[in-house]
Amino acid sequence: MFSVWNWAAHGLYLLLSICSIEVSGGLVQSCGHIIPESPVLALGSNFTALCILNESCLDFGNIYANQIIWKIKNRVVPKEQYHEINRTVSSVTFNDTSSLATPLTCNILADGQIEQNIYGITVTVGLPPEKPKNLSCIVHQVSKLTYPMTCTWNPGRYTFLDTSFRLKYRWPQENFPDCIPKDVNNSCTISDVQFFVNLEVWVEAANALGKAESDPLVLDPIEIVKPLPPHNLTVNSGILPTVLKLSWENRISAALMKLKFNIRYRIMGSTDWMQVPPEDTASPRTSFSVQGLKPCTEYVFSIRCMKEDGVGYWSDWSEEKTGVTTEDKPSRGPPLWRIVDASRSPASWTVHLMWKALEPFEANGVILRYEVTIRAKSPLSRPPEKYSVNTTNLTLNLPNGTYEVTVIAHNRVGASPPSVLLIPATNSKAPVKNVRTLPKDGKLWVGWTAPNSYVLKYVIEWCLVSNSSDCIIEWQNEPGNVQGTYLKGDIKPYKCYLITVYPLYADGQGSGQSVKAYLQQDRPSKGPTIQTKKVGKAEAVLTWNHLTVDEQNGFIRSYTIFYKTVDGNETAVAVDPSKTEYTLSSLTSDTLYTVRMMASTDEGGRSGPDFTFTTQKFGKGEIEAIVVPVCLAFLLIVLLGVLFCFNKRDLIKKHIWPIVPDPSKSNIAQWSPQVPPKHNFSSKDQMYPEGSFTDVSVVEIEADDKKSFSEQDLKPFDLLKKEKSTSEGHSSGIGGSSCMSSPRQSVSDSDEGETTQNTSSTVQYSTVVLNGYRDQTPVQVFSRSESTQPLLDSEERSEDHAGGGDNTAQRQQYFKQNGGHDETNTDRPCFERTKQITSANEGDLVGFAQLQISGQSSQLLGLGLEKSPQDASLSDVLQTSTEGQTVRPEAVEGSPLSVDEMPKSYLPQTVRQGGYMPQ
Amino acid sequence: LQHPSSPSSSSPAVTKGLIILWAVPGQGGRPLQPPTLQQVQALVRHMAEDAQELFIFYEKDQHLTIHNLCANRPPEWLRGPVPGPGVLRALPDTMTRMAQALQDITRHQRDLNPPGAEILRRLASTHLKVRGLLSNLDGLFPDHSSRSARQPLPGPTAPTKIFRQKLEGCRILWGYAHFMAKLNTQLEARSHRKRREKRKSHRGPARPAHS
Repeated sequence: MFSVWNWAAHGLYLLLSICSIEVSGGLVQSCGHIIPESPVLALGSNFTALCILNESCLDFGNIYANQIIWKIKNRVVPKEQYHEINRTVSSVTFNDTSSLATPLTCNILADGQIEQNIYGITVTVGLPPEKPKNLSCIVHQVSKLTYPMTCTWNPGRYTFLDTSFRLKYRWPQENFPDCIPKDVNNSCTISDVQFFVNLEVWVEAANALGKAESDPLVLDPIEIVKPLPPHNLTVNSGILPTVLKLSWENRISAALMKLKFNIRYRIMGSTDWMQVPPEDTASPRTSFSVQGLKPCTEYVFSIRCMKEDGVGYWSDWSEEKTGVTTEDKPSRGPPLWRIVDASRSPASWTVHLMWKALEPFEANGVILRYEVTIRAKSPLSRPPEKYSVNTTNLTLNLPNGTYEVTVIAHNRVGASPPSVLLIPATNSKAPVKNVRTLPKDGKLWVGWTAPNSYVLKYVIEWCLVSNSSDCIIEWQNEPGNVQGTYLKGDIKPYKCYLITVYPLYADGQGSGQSVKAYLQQDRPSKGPTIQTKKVGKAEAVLTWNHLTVDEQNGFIRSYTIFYKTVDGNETAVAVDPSKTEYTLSSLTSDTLYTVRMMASTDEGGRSGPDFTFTTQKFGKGEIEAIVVPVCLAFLLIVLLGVLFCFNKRDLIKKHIWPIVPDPSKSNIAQWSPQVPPKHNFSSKDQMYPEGSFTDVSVVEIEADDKKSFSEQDLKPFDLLKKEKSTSEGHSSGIGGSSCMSSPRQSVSDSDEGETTQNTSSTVQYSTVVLNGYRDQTPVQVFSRSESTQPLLDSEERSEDHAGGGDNTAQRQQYFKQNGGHDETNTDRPCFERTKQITSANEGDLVGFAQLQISGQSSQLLGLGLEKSPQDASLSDVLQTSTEGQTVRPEAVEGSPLSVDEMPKSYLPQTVRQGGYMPQ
Repeated sequence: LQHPSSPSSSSPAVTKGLIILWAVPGQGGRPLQPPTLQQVQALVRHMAEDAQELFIFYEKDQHLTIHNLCANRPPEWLRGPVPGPGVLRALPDTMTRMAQALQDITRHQRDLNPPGAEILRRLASTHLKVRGLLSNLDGLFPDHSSRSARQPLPGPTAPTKIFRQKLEGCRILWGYAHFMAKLNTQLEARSHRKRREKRKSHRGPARPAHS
């Protein structure tokens, strides 16, 4: 801690000592200085600096040269570069000044601890100037009397130093003030120079590291003059239509410089300059007549000049001036052609004459009119017809024949040579051969092979072939000595052109030879739309339409059909482009195919939309081969079945349409003496007065008319009830259930038979009324069936009873279906219930009725009817009737009936076929 | 009859470079060569024209066009040149005096015109031409040390009247124009004669040369 304060106090003392020393002399003085002072050093050279300490500092601060530290900026120079010359001088040496930087300072380390700056210098490092090179000068004429000279040079490398350039010039015995460049270092302009006096010019470059001078340039400034171009150029028409006279003024004195000239000119609108031969304008002048120009043509002129001997520079081109040559008569007749339309009349032609307006260089002026002359050739004898028209076409109706048509163009100066065209009767001359086209340089070239005969000229016709527009003919003439030319119209790419070449002879013309051509082809704008014409099991016939000309964009070279299945590879088939139909073969049956078609030109192809189709599962005739045998077999089976049925018709009839005995025809009805001999069933009200039955449930199943049951319809059941009551103790039943008599005998009569016949399709079965009347014991009632259907044999024959179980079982099902109703409505009057059932389901009732009419089924017990005593009685009755073929009177006990009401006992009188023998 | 030709399509830079090389043969650092006689003659022709234009301009600018005020009594030293082969040798003295006279006129006009006035520019240009001719004559006749003789002569006496100075300047310029015109005519005539003799010498047998 003490040492730190000690060092600080010592340093402060030293600083104050230095200051006191400096101030003591009245001036602020440093303890030393560096030699050299702020040097400018050449880059890459070596450099040594000396730091010299003042003697006065030695005494006060104990400062010596060995304490000196050299620094570049804040970086200490390695002590290896130091050299202590004596106790007050220290040097530092740098082998390469490129390592130097500003400032370079001399410092001391007082008492070996505190660093104090003694002195510092700035070091500038750079390069000496290089010798300026490529000095050149030019004297620009600014005005008639002002000729500043500008010299330029290459200043050389960058020196990193402030380098001045001076352009020096002198005469042999006279020096001029230097020309000092402003803002640049490579050029300077001397305001005025003197011609015809040799001048020495050179450039001096100088900086802190040295000077350099360019090689001197000795010249006469007149040799490097770039004069001003001639001015006030005028162009005047000469006497001749091919001459224009130019006049101008030179802006440099002839005494100073003799000039030569260049004259250039071009047709207005053109960019191609032409030039008057230089040798024609190599002498001093102020005018010149340009010859060989085209009449009535506007020209643009420009002129420039330079020293006559060619020493110096060309001036700029003068401002452009225009002049128009005078008119001359047309140099040639207009190109002439025709379109002959012979379709309107067989005896005459409609001739469309057309000619082209002359090019300006041919018209040599403004064409005022065209004179058209039609001369008929023999054998026609018609006076020449003359027309004067302003347009370039003329339509005439001429009789068939040969004509000579001449067209002459007129301008203000005169007439053109005539253009002659023969209109022959037929194109009977030799045509050209091998017409061909070739796109070249954006134009369409047409070539042909000339016929053997001498051809005056050729006419090339062409038109754009399009679906959307008519073929508008364009044409051009070509001399007879050529065999090819470029079409001069606006030929568009991707368009089809029909080109026809006609040779014209002195006595007629040859037939045209045509060719189609494209200037440039492209892919078709769309592909053909393909579709199927016919699809088979393994083949498909595809059809398409040709692309229109506008869609083709080129010559269709091929059609390609691509087809594939969903997961298969695509197959390509090339098709003749002239075809519009193709049959794909070897296809897989019942397979979805995707097909598309591509039309290709020389430039590529484009596909049309995809089309899908599915091949058929069966080939042609396969279905017929299957269906026909199957049908035949079916028919055979049907036929056999019919025959079988026919042979077994009795058996079938017996099973399907069992003979139901008609109770109305039962002899028992006639047999019973207590029964009125004749039931008037038609008068049912009498037979069954209203209210004689209670709780009568009747089910009528009418197959035809499903009319509702009316009370009138139910009245006959009253009678039955009575009959049942009277037949107590007798075994009686309905249908097969009655073993004692035939139901037909008991209920039918003749009238009833009529009724039955009227309702032949109606199957009515009687039902059993089980409810008692007014709380009386229900009586067992037999009802009858009015069905005309015969009873089954099983019912009619005792021997069939055993087999009746099947039928019983079948009917049991029906009964079960309807039994439910009975089961749930046992407390209700049966009539009501039956009505409900009838209205609910007639079909069900049919089964129910069938069960009831069979009456033999022992399965009735299984219907649940035993829940009701009445039902149980009925089941007993039915069971007994079925099993014992007897009806026990006690089965209806509890039904006290009056004598009148007691049914009579019937005995069978006769046994009819199908009836039952009484037992 | 010329034939249409396409415009020159060669690179302008290349053309210019070739012209420079051809037109400036001394770019390689040749020593300052003495002027040719053709240069002196061309300079004289140029100076004659310039002198005429300067006089006309001066006369008009100074409003001295009346009564041919300037056309008479030129300075004695401008009444030459003496025709003969030694005309050029006598020329430096005249030009020296003329240079001095132009300086005087310029000094006078500088008092009458603002800096950059046309008359000053023309006087400076003419003065430069006179000095150029002197330089050429020095180169053409190096043995003729005219430097001593061309020391600045004492100027005209102290200006008395401005008009008198104008008139004096006008007379000097008129005399100078006449002098240079006659000098040019003599040189042109001699040049023509020499060319004619040269052509004759090329055509016919050699004849003794006449100076």
